Amino acid sequence: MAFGLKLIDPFSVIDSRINAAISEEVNKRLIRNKGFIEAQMSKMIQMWVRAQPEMLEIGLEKRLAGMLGIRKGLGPTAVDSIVMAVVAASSFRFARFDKQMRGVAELNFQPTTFLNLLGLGTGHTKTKNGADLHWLDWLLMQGNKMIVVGYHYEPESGRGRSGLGAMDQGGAFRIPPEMAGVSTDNFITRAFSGKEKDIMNLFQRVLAR
Amino acid sequence: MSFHLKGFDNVQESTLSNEIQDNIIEFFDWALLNKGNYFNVTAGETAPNGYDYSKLRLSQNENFTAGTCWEGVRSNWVWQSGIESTPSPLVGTNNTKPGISGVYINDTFYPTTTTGSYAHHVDYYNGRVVFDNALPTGTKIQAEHSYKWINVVYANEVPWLREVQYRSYDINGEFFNQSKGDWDIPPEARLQLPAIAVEIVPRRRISGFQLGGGSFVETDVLFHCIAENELERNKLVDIVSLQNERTFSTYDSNLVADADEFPIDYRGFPVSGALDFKRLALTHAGAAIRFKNSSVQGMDVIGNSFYGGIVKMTAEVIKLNV
Repeated sequence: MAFGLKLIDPFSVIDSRINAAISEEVNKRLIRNKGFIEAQMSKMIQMWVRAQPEMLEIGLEKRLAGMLGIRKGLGPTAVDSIVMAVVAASSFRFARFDKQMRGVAELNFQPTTFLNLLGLGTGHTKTKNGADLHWLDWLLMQGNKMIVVGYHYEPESGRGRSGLGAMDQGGAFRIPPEMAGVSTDNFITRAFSGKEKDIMNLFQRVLAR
Repeated sequence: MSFHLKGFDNVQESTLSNEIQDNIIEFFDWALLNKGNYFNVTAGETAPNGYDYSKLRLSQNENFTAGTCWEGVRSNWVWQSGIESTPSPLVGTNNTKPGISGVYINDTFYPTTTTGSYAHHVDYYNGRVVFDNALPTGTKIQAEHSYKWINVVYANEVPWLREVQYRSYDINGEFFNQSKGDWDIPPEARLQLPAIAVEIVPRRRISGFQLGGGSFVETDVLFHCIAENELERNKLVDIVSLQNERTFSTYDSNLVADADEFPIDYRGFPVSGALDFKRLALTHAGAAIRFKNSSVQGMDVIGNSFYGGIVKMTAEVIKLNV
């Protein structure tokens, strides 16, 4: 048995009807899943940021935590507050798609000023003399600059604020180059780098729900 | 499935990070020479205070028999010929003995081919002449030579590891006064400014190059630009950062080793027919390096006479066997 199909409307009309049907479905699913998208974003951001070597070093109180002078026991708290600040600064913006498929579905991550992170109290350490060490600024913005001249970091269990090491005279101190960051390339920007596929997968899941 | 590691043939071979660092240093050293990065010192040329720039001092280096090692006021002498910049550096034309043509001993010229009592070799990197036999203290030894102004070095030679030697152009009484001042630190352990120190960042990104194999391998490189004043520091930062998107040819150290054509021997002396960077890269070609993502990270003033700036660039190499 054979069927014949004859299109009686012009292509432009068919095209706009298809777009109208798609936009209606897309709008319906994005509205319905807004909460799901935000929850998934939060999960993904937490996973991406926590997986950065810098966060692992600080959270697990390893070498970098010692270098930055983070007090023993405060590393995990510092990581939590950084991660939550990045999550809080992210958003999903949605504006309905019209029949021409013009609309907005936008995920926003981390403002490029980094003020949400640079303002965190946990990003500072106070020394015994009352000096304020803004270690998160060193890590995010100061790149490979020498932070301290005339002293270098010496790892030694039980010494220093961190109990991991302390500054000794001579040489200089800087963030290890593989972890150093500036506003355009730091552990936060690296956490989001190459994640386009994950974001696409998220939208595919949402549109299939 | 395989039981073999890829990207290299033998653990004894030089591998990518070191190849990148070596080639960047040699490329900048060579390319700067061709942009006039040297000063010529003629015999008897005197500083405003009357000291002779060409006169060598007896080295206090204990690794040499006393009286055999004599060093110049600046290290890193030029041995390469065929430099495009004019006036040319002061090097001879004898290809079997690349570099300077000889030395003056008590005002008598002895070519580098001299044998017997005054036979000598020149260690260009450390800026010194090493005689086979000791010469008495007080011997007047002069060398017409050219020294490189900007020193391009490995980052493990940066100041916090080495004694920085300030005002090393200003020859003075201290240079000739034994056992006094930082001239008594052997050249291997002092860094003369201005200098560009090259450091490989231990972090790597790899992405696909083409269907069927091959990868773009990206390695971040730091250039520590160190000078005694702000103007010189800024000049170094400009020179380096402007190489963004520059692609340059390299040599493959493993091919050079196989052909036994390293230009400098274990003593620091150029070998007969030594190949300069350009000829090494043409004869024993390695993978080209492209600089990208140039950024300036910090310009510091440390003390009165130490100005630092850091340029970060990504060195991209295409590896077909990865």
